[in-house]
Amino acid sequence: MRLSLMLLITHGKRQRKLGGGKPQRLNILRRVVTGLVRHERIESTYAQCDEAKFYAERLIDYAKLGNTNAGAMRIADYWITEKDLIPKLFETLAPRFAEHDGRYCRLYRLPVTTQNTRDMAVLEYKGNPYPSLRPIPKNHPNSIANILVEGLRQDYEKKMEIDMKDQPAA
Amino acid sequence: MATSLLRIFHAAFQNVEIRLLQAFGLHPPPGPALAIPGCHHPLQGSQGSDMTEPSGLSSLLGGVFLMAAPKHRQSLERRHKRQRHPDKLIKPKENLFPCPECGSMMQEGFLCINCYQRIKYETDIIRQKIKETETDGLASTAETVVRYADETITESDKSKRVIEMARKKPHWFTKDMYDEHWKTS
Repeated sequence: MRLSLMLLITHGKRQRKLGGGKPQRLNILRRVVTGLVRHERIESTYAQCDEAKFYAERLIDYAKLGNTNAGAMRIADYWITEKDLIPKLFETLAPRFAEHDGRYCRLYRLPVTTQNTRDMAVLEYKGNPYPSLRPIPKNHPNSIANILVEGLRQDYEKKMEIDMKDQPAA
Repeated sequence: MATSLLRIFHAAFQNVEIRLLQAFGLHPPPGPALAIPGCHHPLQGSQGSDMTEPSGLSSLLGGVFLMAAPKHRQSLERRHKRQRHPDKLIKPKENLFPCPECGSMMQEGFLCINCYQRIKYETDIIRQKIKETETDGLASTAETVVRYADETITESDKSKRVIEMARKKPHWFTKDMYDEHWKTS
């Protein structure tokens, strides 16, 4: 259960409904979380990704306790349906996020177009080997606009220096 | 026109004739013209002899539920007012801006679909190569790094699983495309 301010406002009805009941909801979430642990980047509906993100992050928190911890192993055994991924969780993902706290996932929404009519999203673990989904910020120091702005800034700094020198004398 | 009128009059006269014959008991009465499916109560059969039969409209509509239906046609003005209300128009999106990577229009808070298709293509190739390294489809526990043809494999990569690509790194995959471009030129 999510404990947050939103939970207080919405009278405890924070979760959206998935599937046709509680067991089906958990099966859907387990399937999404298992796919995320295997592929580290998956594409699914926005509702499923948004709900599974919380569980995927809590799973890492439990995995950080180590594979000797009985509770952590029980949680991993429940949430990962394909059992060859349990060593990967404890030996790869848990050390990767050893210095992180909390947010281990990134969630991006895909636009609804004529080809993609469903509300889809991409969910990924941080530190995966795939190319970044976010546009990489670039510097353009040699563009004419930036050269002019840089010159203006230098002129302004010079002017301020002169003013500062004049002030104590006056 | 004339033939159709004649046919209507003929049918009307035939009706009148049958009704007159019925009144004098000379014509057999017509079959049930209105068959209404009503639900039969199971207890009604045993207690039917004691109870008095309902009369009037309720007897005719035994167990039938009537729904409300429109009595009059709506005028064009009313219909158009309802259908073409300004609230029902598709609202123009004002949170669109050009993608800083490729320049195609994208929506705020969403991924650029043009860039995403390119990244997805690259991701699928890497995922396929990862799958080939795994024996019996079992997941490996080593961290994965992708090294392209123009990149060198460092010592820190030796403990990791290295996915080697035959071609050069795509320009949009680099950390800062601009700096590398100006260094070389």
